[in-house]
Amino acid sequence: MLKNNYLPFDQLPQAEQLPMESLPRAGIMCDVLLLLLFWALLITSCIVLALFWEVAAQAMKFARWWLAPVCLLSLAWPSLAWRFRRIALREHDVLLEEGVIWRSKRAQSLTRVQHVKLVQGPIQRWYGLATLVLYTAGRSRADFKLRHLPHARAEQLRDYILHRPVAS
Amino acid sequence: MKSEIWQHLPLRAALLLIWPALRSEWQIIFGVMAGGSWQLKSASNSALSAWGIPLLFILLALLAGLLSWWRFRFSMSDEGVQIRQGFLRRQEVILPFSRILGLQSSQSLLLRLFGLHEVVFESAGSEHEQVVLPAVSELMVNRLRAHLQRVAQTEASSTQVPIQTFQADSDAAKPTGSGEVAQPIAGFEFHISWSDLLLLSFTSIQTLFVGPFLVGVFYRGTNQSTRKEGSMWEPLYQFAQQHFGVTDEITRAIMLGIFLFVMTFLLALVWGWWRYGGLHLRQSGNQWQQTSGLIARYTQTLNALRACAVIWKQNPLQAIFGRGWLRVAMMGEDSRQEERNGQSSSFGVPWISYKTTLRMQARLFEKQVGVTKKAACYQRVSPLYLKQNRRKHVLWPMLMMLLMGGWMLMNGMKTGLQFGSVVALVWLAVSEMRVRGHYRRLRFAISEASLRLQGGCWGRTRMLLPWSAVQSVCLKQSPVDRRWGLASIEMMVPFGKVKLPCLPLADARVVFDYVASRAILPLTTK
Repeated sequence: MLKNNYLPFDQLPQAEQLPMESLPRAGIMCDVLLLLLFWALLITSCIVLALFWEVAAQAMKFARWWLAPVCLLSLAWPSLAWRFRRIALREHDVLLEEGVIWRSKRAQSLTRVQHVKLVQGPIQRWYGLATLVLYTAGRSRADFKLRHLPHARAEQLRDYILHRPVAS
Repeated sequence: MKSEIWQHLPLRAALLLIWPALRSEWQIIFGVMAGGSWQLKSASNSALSAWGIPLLFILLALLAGLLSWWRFRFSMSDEGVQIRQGFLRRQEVILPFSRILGLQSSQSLLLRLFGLHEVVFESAGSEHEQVVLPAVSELMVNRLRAHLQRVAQTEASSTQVPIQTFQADSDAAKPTGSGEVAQPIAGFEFHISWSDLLLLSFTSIQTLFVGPFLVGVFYRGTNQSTRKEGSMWEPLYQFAQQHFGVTDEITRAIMLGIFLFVMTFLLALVWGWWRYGGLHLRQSGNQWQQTSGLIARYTQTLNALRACAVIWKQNPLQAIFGRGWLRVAMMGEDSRQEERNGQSSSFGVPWISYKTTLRMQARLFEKQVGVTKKAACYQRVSPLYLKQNRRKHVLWPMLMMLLMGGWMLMNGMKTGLQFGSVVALVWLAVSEMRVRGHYRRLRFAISEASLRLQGGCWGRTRMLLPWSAVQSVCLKQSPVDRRWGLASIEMMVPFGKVKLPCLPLADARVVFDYVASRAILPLTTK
């Protein structure tokens, strides 16, 4: 029969220092281009609205002063976020560290993965990157997303997850 | 997965793929539409500028549907289902057969018009992301079903694990599965007593709402100003006046009390017996069954292999009688179905003592969490929890209220200010009590196989979470946490999130590593 004793903190094994790896720098460019696309779409739609609607034209006149600094700041963000995004693969789980202001470190057990999705947008295809999403039985937001992995490595990782031996 | 036999959807499915394609590639469609509108608006031809934009949209939609159909392909091999889709944002989904719980096909009115079916491969995967074939022919549905059955049969015949079947109590000692003899175990049984049923009926929230409603009705019926000759209250009113000889106001007060008591008692009794009369919970092997209701019969069944946590909650009213509400969270609980039906699909007992809950959870997770004779050594979170939550729930609201008060004073709103001050003071006092209450009750105990969590403020919550239910674990630090050397642990579980807030950073790291090492264990040890 399984014994199950309670463990005080001091009896738990010490925290492990893992060598975490950074993701490819191309991911920064990918995010910057996506942001540029977002701003271009936003500004285009504002201009189209301003053509048909006088109130929107007035709002555009007011917004142009703060839109430029916000736009520039947002373009600097991916580079900052990249510094804090690191990954480590262990035999039975994947670890992901991320967050500039709110930092988090998440461990996803590979045993719990239900299905796997590999996503590649046009910009990611240009840079040879891909996003690997691991779905678990958890509720919303329980999915584990590894963004901007090199495409070949993402496929390798997917195959490893699907064909790995089960932990005993 | 190496699979090269790709199947396409029927060509007529392209029309049905228009909307999903527009939704997923909306940025591009929007950009083209914006550019096109710009050009068409300045066109010299008036017919082109009037009809150009809708025509452009229709053309784009048809093109998106056609491209989406062209890129959508799927394959089924002996390993699982593989789907490739998306013309700009390409996706590839792989669902292994071992994770498929079932295949569901449905036909909406639109699909029926085209003679197609939607196929959903059910898995325990996140509910927001289903593996779906949006429009396939009936022939293909049958082929998929047959393929799934064939693979399932092959796997069942190759596996050595005996298949557990539902057994009645008396059959517990008989052989089960492929030649193995099940250990004779005494099944768990629980009956609700009459006294417990009465208390459950009285303390139910529905009953508490009936009281104030009846007060209103009765007050109106017997009040001098609204009293009407020949009203339904008149006989009661006359009876009390003749036999007790009291004045009008006192009669009203006495009758109000008696009437309320009798009516609430009767209503509670009827409701309680209707819903929970004869509540009976019984374990039989891995199957648990609960039946309740004397008039309408409600039956709930639980497969112990799907149970992933036991949660016992007690509100202040239940605390007086030492009882609480028990919920067994299950793997793959369908919250969308809950929303649709308005009924909870989780397994629950509404009135049960903690002692019985402990017995039940020992039975439920006997092999997963093991047996411990030692008392749980509960640990508390950092005392900085008080400071952090006081700041969030007391200090910031207080600052906002002071600002609002100042504004009211400047605008000469004295009555509003007086009323607002009283409300604000009561609210702040309640918030402070809540923060203290939460800190006092919040404790957790870690063992080799499970996490025990206690919490609550006015009421009490206790939870047993086997590590096998933890899907992933996350260590989080906000800027304030970093300044104070704290961190929180969040565990994603099938029924939501379980959080251990405000742990000292060193302890949080140790807990994170420990939980991560336990969360890799197989889903069940039974």
